[in-house]
Amino acid sequence: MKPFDSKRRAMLAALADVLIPSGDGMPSASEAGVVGRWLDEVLKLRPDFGSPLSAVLDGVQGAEPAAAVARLRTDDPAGFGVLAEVVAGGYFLNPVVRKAIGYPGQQPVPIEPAQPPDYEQDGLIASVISRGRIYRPTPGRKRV
Amino acid sequence: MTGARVKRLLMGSNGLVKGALYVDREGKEHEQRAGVTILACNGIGTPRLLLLSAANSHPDGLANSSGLVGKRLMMHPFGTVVGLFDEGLDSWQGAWGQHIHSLEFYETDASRGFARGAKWGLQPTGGPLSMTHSYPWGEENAIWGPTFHSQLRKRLGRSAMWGIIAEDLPEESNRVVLDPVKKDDSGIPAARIQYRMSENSRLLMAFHQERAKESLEAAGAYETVIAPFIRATGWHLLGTAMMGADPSRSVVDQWGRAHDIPNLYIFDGSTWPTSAGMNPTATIAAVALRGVDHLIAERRSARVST
Repeated sequence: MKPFDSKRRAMLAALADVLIPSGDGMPSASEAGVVGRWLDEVLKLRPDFGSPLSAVLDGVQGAEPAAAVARLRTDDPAGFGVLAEVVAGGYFLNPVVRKAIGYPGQQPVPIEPAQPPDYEQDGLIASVISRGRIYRPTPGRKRV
Repeated sequence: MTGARVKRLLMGSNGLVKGALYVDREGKEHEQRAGVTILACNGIGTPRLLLLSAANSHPDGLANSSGLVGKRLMMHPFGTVVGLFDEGLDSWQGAWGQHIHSLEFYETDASRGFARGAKWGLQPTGGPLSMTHSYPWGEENAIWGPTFHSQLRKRLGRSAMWGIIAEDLPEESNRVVLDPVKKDDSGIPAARIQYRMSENSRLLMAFHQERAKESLEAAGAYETVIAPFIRATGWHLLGTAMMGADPSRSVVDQWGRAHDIPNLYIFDGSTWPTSAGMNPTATIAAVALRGVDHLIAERRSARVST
C-alpha cells in the first residue's frame, strides 16, 4: 500500500478535527496525533482501511472540511464509516486520551468460585425468588 | 476436505441420493459417493443445495414434494434499548452477548395483540470506540462535532443495553430461493432471501422495546435510546426445511430424515418448525446428536446407496 503522503494527511487532519474538535479540556483529533503516529498504528491493526481511506481523502481533496464531512455522511456512508473509525480509533489509541476519559481498558475481575454469586447476596433477584416459579412445564414432564 | 463447494446432490435411479458433485478450488469437478448423505449447511445453504439439485425427475428440487423447501425462513428480528445512568458502571467490562437474561414477557398474552414473545439479554455497551457507532446509539444521536466529548462522557462506563430476540413466526412468504442471475465465484447460483418482518414481529418488538425502556428507567436510567434495527440479523437462520410428521406438510421426519429420500438427512437449523426467541446453536447441536444416535442405532435396517 502506498504510504499516506503529506497532502492526504493534511486533508485527514482537517476532516478529523471536524469530527473531534478540541473542547472540554480535551485535545482535537489532530492534536492527539491521529494523522501521525496513531494513523500508522490504526492501519497496522486494520490494513483493510488503507485503500478506502485513501479513496475518501482523494475524493474530497481541496474541499472545505465541514462541508466535505457533511457530504460524506449523506452520499458515502460506507466511506464516512471508515473515516470515522480511523479517526476515533486513533484518538482512543493515544494513552493520554484514554487517561483523560478515565478508560483503563479491559481489566480482570476474578470470580471466586467458592463464593455465592454477588447477585444472590445483594438482593438483585430477591423479588424473583420470592415470587416463585412461573414457567409452564414441558408437556409430559413433572415440574421440578 | 476443505475448499470444496457442492454444486448439487446426485440421485440414483432407486430413489436414493448417491452422493454429491463438488468443485475444488481450481474449479475441477468431482463426484463423491456416499451411502448416507447428511446436509448441515444452515437455513440458507441447505435449501439452496436442495433447490440446486433439481432434475427432470424432481423439477422443484430434492426432498421438496411438500413444496416447503426454502419457505418459512425465520431470522429473529433483534431490538436493542440502551439506558444512560448517572452512576459509573464500568460498562466497558465483561463479555459481549449477555450477562443476565429475562423471559418475563416471553409467553403469549392475547391482550397484547400479538403471539409469542422475546428473550431479553442485558449487556454493557463496551469501550470508547463503541460509543461512536451508529448502533446502538442511532444516526440521529451521532456523536461527531462539538458535542463529541460531552456525549462520550455520558455514554462511556455509564450505559447498559437490553438485546431483544423476537420469536419470528413461520411465514411461507419469507423464504430462500435461487437467484436467477447472481452466482458465487465457483459459478454456482447464489441464494436469494425474500424476507419481510411480519406484522406480528413488528407489534411484538414495539411492545418489548417499550417494556425494556420501562425496565431501564425503573433501574435509574435518566435517558434511553431505542436502537435502529440491524437489517442483517441473519445470525439465526431457521425453518427452511421443516421437520414434521406429515410428509405433505414438512420436509424431514422427527429424526431429520427427508420424507422423500430415505438416505438423506438434514442436521441444521433449517428443520425447526418454529424459531423460539433464543440463541439456537446448542439446540441445533442437540437435535443433530439425537438424529445421529438414531441413524447409528437403525443402521442395520437403513436403506443406503451402494
